[in-house]
Order: sequence, then C-alpha cells, then structure tokens
Amino acid sequence: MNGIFWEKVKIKKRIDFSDKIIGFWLTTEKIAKNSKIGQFVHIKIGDNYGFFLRRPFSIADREGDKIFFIFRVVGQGTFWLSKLKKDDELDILGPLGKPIEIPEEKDILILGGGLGIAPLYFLTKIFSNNKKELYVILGAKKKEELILKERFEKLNLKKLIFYTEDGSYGEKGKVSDGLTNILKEKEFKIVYSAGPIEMLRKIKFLLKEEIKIYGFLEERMGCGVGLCAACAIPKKDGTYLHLCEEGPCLMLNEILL
Amino acid sequence: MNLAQRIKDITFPNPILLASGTYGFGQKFKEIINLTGGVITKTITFNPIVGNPPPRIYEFEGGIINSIGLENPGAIYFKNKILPTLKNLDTNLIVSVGGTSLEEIVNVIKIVEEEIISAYELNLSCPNIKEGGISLGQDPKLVENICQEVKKITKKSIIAKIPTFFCNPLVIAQSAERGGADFITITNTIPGLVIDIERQKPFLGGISGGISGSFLKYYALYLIAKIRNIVKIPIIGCGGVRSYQDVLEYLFCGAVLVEIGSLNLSNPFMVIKIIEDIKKWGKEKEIKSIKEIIRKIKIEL
Repeated sequence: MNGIFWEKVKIKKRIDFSDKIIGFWLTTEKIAKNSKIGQFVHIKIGDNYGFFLRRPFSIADREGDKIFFIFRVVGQGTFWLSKLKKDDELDILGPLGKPIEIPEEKDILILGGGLGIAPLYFLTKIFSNNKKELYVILGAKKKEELILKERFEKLNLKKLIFYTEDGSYGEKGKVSDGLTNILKEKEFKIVYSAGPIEMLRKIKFLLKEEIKIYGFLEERMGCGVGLCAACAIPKKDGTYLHLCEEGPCLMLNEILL
Repeated sequence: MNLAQRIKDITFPNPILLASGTYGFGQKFKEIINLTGGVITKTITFNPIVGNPPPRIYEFEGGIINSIGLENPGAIYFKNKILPTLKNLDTNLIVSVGGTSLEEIVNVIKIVEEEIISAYELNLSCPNIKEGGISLGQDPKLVENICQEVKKITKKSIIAKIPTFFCNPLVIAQSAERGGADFITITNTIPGLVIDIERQKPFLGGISGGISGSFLKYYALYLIAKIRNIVKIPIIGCGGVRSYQDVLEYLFCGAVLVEIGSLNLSNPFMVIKIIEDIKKWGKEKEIKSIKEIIRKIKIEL
C-alpha cells in the first residue's frame, strides 16, 4: 500500500551509546528492503493506547532485512522505548518520508550534531558508494555522545572531522566552528545537515544563499503518512510543508527556521 | 454477517466511514479506503487555507488535541486536481464542506459537484476557525437555512456534522432535520486548550484545538441516545472508536454508520482489522445482517 508497510518487528540488537542514547537494530520483513536514505519509521509506543501517537525516528542505517535507529531518552515515549531489550517486539510503520536523491554535485559537505549524526550515517554511506567526495564534520557535547564514530571512520571520506564541546574527542568546539574553518579552504555548492535547530540556524547563517542547504527537521507529528497535515513546517512564502511527506530532510533555503 | 446497507439511495458496503481530516482527500491508501463504507475528505473551503502555525497536535492519555486550522487547497483546486484522481475509488466518496457563511458553503458545493461524490458532509462544527469565534452550526436557524439552501442546489445526500458544545445539540439536530439534512453526524471534536508552562503560553500554534479520542465516545453515545428519539433522520456516530466493540456500541445505541477518526492517525491500517472483527463477531453471534443490531437496545434517557 503506497510502499508503506505495517509490521510487528523484533529488536535484533540493542546498543547503549550512553545512559540516555540508545540504538536498536530491527529485523523487518519488507521495511528495510524498501527503505531509502532520508526516510523514517513511525513507532508505536506502549502496549495500549495510553500513548496515542507514534514516534518518528530517522533510519540511521540499513543492512539486508535490518534497519537501525537511535534515540535519546527525552520524554515518556522514549523512556518506554529505553526499557526494551533484545527480542522484544515493536509495532512500526515504514518506510515513511521522502527519499533523498543522490545529488549531481561531486563535492558534498555533511554536518551532523548530536543525534543528528544518526540519519546522516545512512546518507553518507550511500553517497560514499556513489563516488562522491565527502567532507564530514560531526560534533557532540562529549565523546560518548559522538555516536557512530567508528562506523564513519570506516567509510571512504575525503575528510572526517570530529568536534566535542568539552574537547574530550577531536577538536574542541561546535560543528559550526568546523564549518567556519572548512569554508576558509574550500567552497561547496551543496550541504546536508542534521542536528539541533540552533545548529541548523547557524549553518544557514554562515553559508551563502546560493548554496543548497538540506537539513533534517523535527516537528510534532500525527499520522506520519500524509493524511492529517499536523507536521507543518513554515515556508518563506507563508504556506506550510508537511514534514512527514516532503521531509524529514528539507531544503532549508525555502523554509523559515 | 452482512454489513451492507442501503440508506437514502447510497449503498454502504459496511458501516465504517473514515472521518474528515484523518484520511487526507482520499488519494492515499486507496486499497484500504475501498474496504470501508466510504471516505470523508478533509474539509474543503472556497479559498485555499494555509492552516495554523505549528505545533498543530498534542497527545494526551487516550487522545489528541489537533489544531490543523482547516488547511486545504480550496474548492477549485480540489475540483480540478484532486477529484479526477478519485474517479477509481470503489466506495463512497463523501466531501466535507466548510465555510464561514451560508454562501460559502453553497458556493463550494456548486464548484465541486461531480457524479463520483456520494454525499456532502457539512462541517458545521469545526472549532478551529478563528474568524467569527463561534461556528455556523451553533445557530439553529442558520443550520436550518444552510441545509435548505444546500438541498436546493444538489440532489446528493447531505450530512450535517453538528457542533455539540456551546449550543443545544438537540435543538441543532432538529434544525438540521427541518432544513432537509439526510443524515446527522454526532459528534465533532470538542474545543480544548493546552498550556505550555515552560514557555508560559498556549502550546498549540493555533491557540485552541479540537479534542478527540476515547472519552469522546461516551459523550457521543449519550447524545445519540437522546437525539434518536427526537429526529427521524439516520445518525452517524463519531468519536473515540478504537475497536470493533466501540463500533458495535454505536450501532446498538442507534447510529447507522460509524466514523473512525483519530485512530487513523495512530494506524491507518487498523480500520481493516475493525471491519474484519465486526464480521467475525457477527458470525459468532449468528447475526445475519447488521440491520438486526442497529438501535437494538432500549435506552430511556
């Protein structure tokens, strides 16, 4: 149905990045095989309807029939998720959202902060398989929150720079500092980013208007499948985009951040 | 159990309708829509409406508060760009029509009128519109006039989705019937407000929203039990359906059709399971037709 599947899936593997950041590998029947970069899954929380709405999580990686997603425990929904272990079952809808097309540009700048690193891993992996010259800057508050560090290090990248705010790994500072530095040596026509909204705003501020800036955004979501119009993102022209259908990775040049 | 009914020249293969605002305009998940008794589109207004600023949705235990703000592309776009894509729908297409005046509602129907539409549901009760404050449906005389004027310009059935708050829903239901409405839907969402204590302001971008979810079923059932005694036109139940048992409650209570709304936001596939479960239940109870259970229970209120 529209390439969207409803599945009961099992947690194949749980990875604890820190006490608040957890990742799950899920074994799916059809969702993984149909997943493309930039897409997400919509996960039912709780055994009943105490939590009415699902929670969206970007697909951080895919291998065969498995998909990977990472979350930070921020509210009751993610707290419920954090109690699950290997072999527990999840009720998921997916793959959802608009897949990202491989861009024509050869040189691509990728900027990820905090949990934003997650969706960018899948993207970077696929881009690197498509012979792109990738410049990747990743940042987090501290070393243990620099998720997927080792996985990024195994990819064929032109440049991979890490930042931590406390200096516990890589350069001390923020992703935006890394952006300022790299712009001194090289120009880019296209940028992909994901991270806290303040980081995306800073990136948009630092980059020239003619540069295509894509960013993964978040908004309160209803159905996740384009039926209810809840996840509105304001555009510059006064209208709205729906994150679940046209995102979650949107061209930031067109929207109000 | 045979779930089909023919009511007012419309054949409903089963009593389940997809409520307005929760299944888009009917272009997506057509395979699912085709298994239901019909889909009710998001409300169409004369001019396009961009909708409310985010956040537009808030979740609480057992339900949601939405503040979409009637976002829709307007009647002309709907007629020219969306309706043609719905020609292959294999069930009833019901168009939800809204507006801030009688004239607007009439004009929308004049524009969208098309053979493939089975009926119009008049959204007389959406509490999301800022303009005017109260909705059209809270004025009994206006409800009667709207139904009358709409009946003059279309031969299709009209469903009055009436407000059930800040007015006497019993009086409004009678007004709709007097005006010639073929069905009434009870109930729409009820207005609500969420306060964000961190930011110290209303949580929803549109300030207020419409509350829906489980609790609404009990209010709707109560109203249906009351209203079924004072109007003759068929009643469509709407509010808080999560399972086949909820649908059966509505049918026993006196609704001939039941809309499923918020549940679609939680899982757009669930409606199929509910229809299958109703059939299974009917088989177990050896009930031949759904008509046998509608309004089966005596309720003295």
